[in-house]
Amino acid sequence: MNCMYCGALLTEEDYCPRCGRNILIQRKAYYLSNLYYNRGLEKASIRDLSGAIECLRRSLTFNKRNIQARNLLGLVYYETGEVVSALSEWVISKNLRPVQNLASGYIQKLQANPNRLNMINTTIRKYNQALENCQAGHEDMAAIQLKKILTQNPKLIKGYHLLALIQIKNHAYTKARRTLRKAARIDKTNTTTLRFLKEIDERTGVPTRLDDRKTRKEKEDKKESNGSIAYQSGNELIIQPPAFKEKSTMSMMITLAVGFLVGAAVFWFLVLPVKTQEIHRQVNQQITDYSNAIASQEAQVSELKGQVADSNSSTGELEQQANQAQDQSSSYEALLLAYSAMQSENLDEAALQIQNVQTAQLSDSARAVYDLVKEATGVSGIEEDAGEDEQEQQTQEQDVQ
Amino acid sequence: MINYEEELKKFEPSLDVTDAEGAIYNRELTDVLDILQEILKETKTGTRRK
Repeated sequence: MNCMYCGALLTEEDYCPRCGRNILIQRKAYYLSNLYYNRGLEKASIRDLSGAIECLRRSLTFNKRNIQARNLLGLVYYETGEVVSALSEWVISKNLRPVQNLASGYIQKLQANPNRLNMINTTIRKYNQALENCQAGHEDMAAIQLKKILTQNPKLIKGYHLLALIQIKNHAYTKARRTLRKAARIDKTNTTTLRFLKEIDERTGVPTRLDDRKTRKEKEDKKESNGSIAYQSGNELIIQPPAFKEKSTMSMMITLAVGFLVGAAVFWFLVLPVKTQEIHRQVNQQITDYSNAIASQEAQVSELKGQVADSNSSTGELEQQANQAQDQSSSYEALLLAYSAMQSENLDEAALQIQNVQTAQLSDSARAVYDLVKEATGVSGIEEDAGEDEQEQQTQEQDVQ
Repeated sequence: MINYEEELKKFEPSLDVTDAEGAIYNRELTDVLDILQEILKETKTGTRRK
């Protein structure tokens, strides 16, 4: 420590050995600066970055030449995404002590990776743009930009805060909680983070747990590794004895093999017969279904055959009727020709024609005309008995066919 | 209850790397000891500076 008046190296005395001035106040200021530096270091080590920043700044107000405090403050700023503030602290530190200073190393590391620096710079510009968008009322655009920024620069706490604020405004409390948890992982006691989380807890009625799943699981595993597990169920305390754990490899292998054999035996004797039975049942069911289908189809076939026979017989009847009608018309025609021949006194022609007339096909009035012609010519047509014999002959011939 | 507009006002734009130089030059580096020295100077000279 040097005298703040003359710059001489101080001893343990409360007076400067060169200028003789009282340096007690200077000593106290240095002491307080170191005290706040130690506190800041403790807070930084447990990720209480906001608290660390406050302590380190206070340390520097007591002693601006506290290089360690300044370097640590730069580190903490860098960790919260405030790269420019971090750089400022390191540059000032380097100017105050150009040699044997960690700040030189930090600045060199930053400058050695220009891409990273450019990327951080870009994210800062985009953050400023997102903030402008928010102020202009374009929160959706700002939210999209912030998400992109936070994937590139996941340490920018201000970005998380702004995104969470937008999500709270849009009542997306789950998303906001998730965003603020990420911010809390970087800086546990950040006032803005805690304030926003409190707001979300009040609005949703669900408290936020900030200890991460890994810590929770470790606590549970630790509890279990003690042996017995104790837990509260209503008013009762239930203590579960520790579970048996296999320690020897050989016995574990034997146990596994026995278990496998037992499983195989259970499968063979219990599961397989059931499966086989099920398969047989399904096959039988299918056979029954096919038999039923065949029977119904056979019934349909016989029905259709019957319909075919019926239609054949009706066709025969219709043919017979057609023949009858044909005979009738030819008889009437012959009768007309015979009558007209008789009228024109051509008895030979009349006699010829009258022979083609079937008397069975004639009506009573036509019969009278036939009798007239028969009397005139002396020749008869095809009488009824002869006609019936002829018809029977024709029917027999058809049946034979 | 969080007021969106009020909270938004608390957010300030971040400095980017190009503004670092200006930020460093404009930095206030006065500490307690500097203030003490100033006070002592004033008491010696008998004048008070604003």
